[in-house]
Amino acid sequence: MKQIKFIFTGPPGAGKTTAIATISEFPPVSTDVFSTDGLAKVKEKTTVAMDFGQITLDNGQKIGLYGTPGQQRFKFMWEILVQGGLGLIVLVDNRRPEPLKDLEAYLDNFADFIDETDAVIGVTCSDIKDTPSIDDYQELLQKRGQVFPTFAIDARNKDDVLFLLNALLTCLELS
Amino acid sequence: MPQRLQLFTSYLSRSNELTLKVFLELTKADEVASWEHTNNQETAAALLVDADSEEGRLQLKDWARENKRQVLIAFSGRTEGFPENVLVLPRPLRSAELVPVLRQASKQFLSRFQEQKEQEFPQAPQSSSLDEKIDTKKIDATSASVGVRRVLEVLYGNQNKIIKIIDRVGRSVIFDIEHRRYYTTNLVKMEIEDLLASPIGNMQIEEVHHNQLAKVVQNLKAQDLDVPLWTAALAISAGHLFDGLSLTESYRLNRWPDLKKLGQDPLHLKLTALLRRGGNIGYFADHLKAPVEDVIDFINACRTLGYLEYQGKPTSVPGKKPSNTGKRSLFSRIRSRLGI
Repeated sequence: MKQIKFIFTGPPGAGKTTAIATISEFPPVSTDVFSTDGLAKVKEKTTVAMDFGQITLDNGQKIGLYGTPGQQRFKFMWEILVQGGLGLIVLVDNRRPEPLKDLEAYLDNFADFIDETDAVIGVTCSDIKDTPSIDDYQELLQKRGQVFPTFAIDARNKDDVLFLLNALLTCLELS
Repeated sequence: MPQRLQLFTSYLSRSNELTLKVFLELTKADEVASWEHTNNQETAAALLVDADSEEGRLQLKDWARENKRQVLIAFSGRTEGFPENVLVLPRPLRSAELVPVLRQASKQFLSRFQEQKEQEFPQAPQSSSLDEKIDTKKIDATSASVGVRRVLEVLYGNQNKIIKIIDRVGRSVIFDIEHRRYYTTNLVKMEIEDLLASPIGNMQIEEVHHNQLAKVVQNLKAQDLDVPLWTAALAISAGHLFDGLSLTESYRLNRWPDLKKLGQDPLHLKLTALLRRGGNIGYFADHLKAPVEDVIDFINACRTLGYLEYQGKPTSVPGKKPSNTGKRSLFSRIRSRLGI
């Protein structure tokens, strides 16, 4: 039986592992290795297969929290990970050179999964670099004919992560 | 919802100022108002001065004589000998004394604010020097539902213009509607919201040309207009659709309002999720079992921010999907487990 889960995706360093850690009932199991490419400047370790966290509901049901590896070269993993997924949480690192293009790439790559479920977008590190603004992200989505909840968040802040999840659940309930 | 008020301090020692900033955090949970420190005297709701120094004493006297609109607070080891209506914060600085003084200051400021509003509102519109170039036809149209022209509607009808509004006591705000910003030295956010919801009768309204904006607003900080627009639209809506909107036509959202910034109302979140698929007001109210008036208020606010798209008269409203009890129960359990 496929496990029911939420999928966290986004470029390397966007905060997927951190966001999972804020709500998982145990520290996420991460398949991290030391970064060897340009990413090493941003983060010491990166996820090569996936992160795994979990929450257990009152009836004993387990809900998985899966983080995809951020780098495009691990794309083959994404299709496997989304199986049984309830919805997608896309995290975008505002410090990266082209965060809007990053977002487009992830929305395109997960288009089929999003069509079947839904997505929310969390923009991280906008306190460090404030452009593009949330309005810029919304404009991009508008041009693509998409309307997704999009908020600036701090992946270390549980309330922020729950705010995103709440928006995703509401969309799933009412769509 | 508690108001956010600002406190300006003068002649306070560095250590007292730092302590004060920490203590202001304690007001965050206050039901009436939370306080934050500002370096801008004009946007402050209260002015606090160390009245034990000679300069501070003179400053307080000047402010009292000028009959400042802000509440005056003297920080002093003395308890007497201050001008009338000055609140006294006893030295040394302690949170146990600061918090009640600030609470009193909130009440004074808000009650003065209310009085001022009551004086302004009942008056019939007098002279309003509307610039000819400002599109007043649109103002007429949008104001029909609420009976009087309001500043918010002037701005809505002039989306690509820069509008300067001067109230009857000479305080001015420049609204760059296209970029959702405003500039002012005179008004706090709460006053901006109130100004937006006010009738234009006592206001002077001018257009500022785009090429003059930089000059006019130099040294002024651009401030986000979304929240004041949203708040004012909700405030004046009162369950009546803004003109041009209809109960039977179908609407959808072209973008997701930043509800983190605009206030985390659970109904607004649900309405947003529904509205992005489209439908009419009756459908939204029925689907969420929400009062139609609340749905209308939300629709008006979305329209004010330009997020509402007209879908025309639908041949049918979106049908209710067959209720997936299993999924609903799952979502409900997840919410319960996460405490959301």
